[in-house]
Amino acid sequence: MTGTLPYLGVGISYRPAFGAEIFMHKKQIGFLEIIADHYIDCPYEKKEELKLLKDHFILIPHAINLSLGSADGINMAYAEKLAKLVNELNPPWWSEHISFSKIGTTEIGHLTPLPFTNEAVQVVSENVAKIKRLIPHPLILENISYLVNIPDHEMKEEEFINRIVTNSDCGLLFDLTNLHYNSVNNQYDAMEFIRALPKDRIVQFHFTGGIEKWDKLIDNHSAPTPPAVWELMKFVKANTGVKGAILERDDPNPDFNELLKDLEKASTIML
Amino acid sequence: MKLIEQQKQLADLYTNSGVRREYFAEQKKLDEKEVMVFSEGLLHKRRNVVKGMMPLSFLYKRALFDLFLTYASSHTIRGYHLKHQLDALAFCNYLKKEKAIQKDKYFKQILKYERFCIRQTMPGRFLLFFSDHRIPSVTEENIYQSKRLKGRIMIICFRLFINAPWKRIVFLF
Repeated sequence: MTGTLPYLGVGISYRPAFGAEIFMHKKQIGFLEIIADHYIDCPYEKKEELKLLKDHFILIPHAINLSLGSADGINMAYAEKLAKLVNELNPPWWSEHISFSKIGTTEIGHLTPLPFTNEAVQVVSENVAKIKRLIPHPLILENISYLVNIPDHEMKEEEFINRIVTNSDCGLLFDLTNLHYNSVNNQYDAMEFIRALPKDRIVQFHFTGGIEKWDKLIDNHSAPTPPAVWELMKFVKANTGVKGAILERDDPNPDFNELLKDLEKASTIML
Repeated sequence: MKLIEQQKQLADLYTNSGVRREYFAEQKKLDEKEVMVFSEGLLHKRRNVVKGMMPLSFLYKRALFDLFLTYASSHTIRGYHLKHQLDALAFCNYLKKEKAIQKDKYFKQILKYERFCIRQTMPGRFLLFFSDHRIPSVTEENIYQSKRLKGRIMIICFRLFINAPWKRIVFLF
């Protein structure tokens, strides 16, 4: 899977709050991830923003509303709009999540975990097949962080992810912080989890830091990357052909120097 | 349980406090604390996004955003990539009907203006219109002096095709 994809290095998930900083530090930013939904049915100014970003960076669209785990299927009207955007950008790959965020007319408003069952593997694979007919570019799927444990699992999470990416022939967008937080919140061994993943399918990393609240680690993209996540990155990088790493930060007024430190650290690992 | 039924139940639990109360009164298959923490997080996220889309209202009547929780308990979100704009518009409409707000003409004017601004970020319209008393600039310092400026303002926004920039004509009189 990873063999044919280009190496993009280390980049950042774009937020308008970064302003001109991303252009001032263009040398440190190998590529940008954009939230695809921000550029669907968007105002003229956002279209212009996208053009500007595309003129200066390789862009990887990251979708958040397909809800690939929904048992009632994906919304094809939305999928067609997403496909138009992704196909216009012509990226080396694009990404979505292994989760569901809507069912019927109810939208949850956040990525939520699926039960680790055969039926869920089947549902995600069928939905991925539908979207692949609209978007021919390689799709990579992200592991999410979760606070609610769904009972009645038929397999471990790592096997669940493994089977989804293999059945649907997708890459893995491996969110190292999500894994670290899930492993701490649910008391399991992150390294054991990594060893069970399909190494040839790990295409890209997400990394960031979050907060501790209600006795849980919460991945709200608001803090520097914690040491444990750097250790995971070193290990996975050394054992896979990963092609890129994206820093995610969602602070309303980010200190860009803090972000640059994380980018620098990641660059030394990703070399 | 089939996945579709399980997902319907989970979605209701995450988004509806009444369903949560009933569920945890009867059974404990899911961890109550985990569900509560997640649902709280969802509400805060929703509230923060809407707050960002209604900056003047937030400055003027910060306390009214406490009503968001009551509003959210009876209004679920929908609309995929436009869900936040639709949520903010629905919250504006909800606030407009509140008794405490109906007496405050200045706040009703702010709400009307913010609805007008949110609609400019959404597709499907070619013409938008705003007309009211002129709006004093809202800052932390003057926000509680809800004095109206003399005269009226009329703003006409139009565009010729869906992705075109808005053209604005402003009349002050």
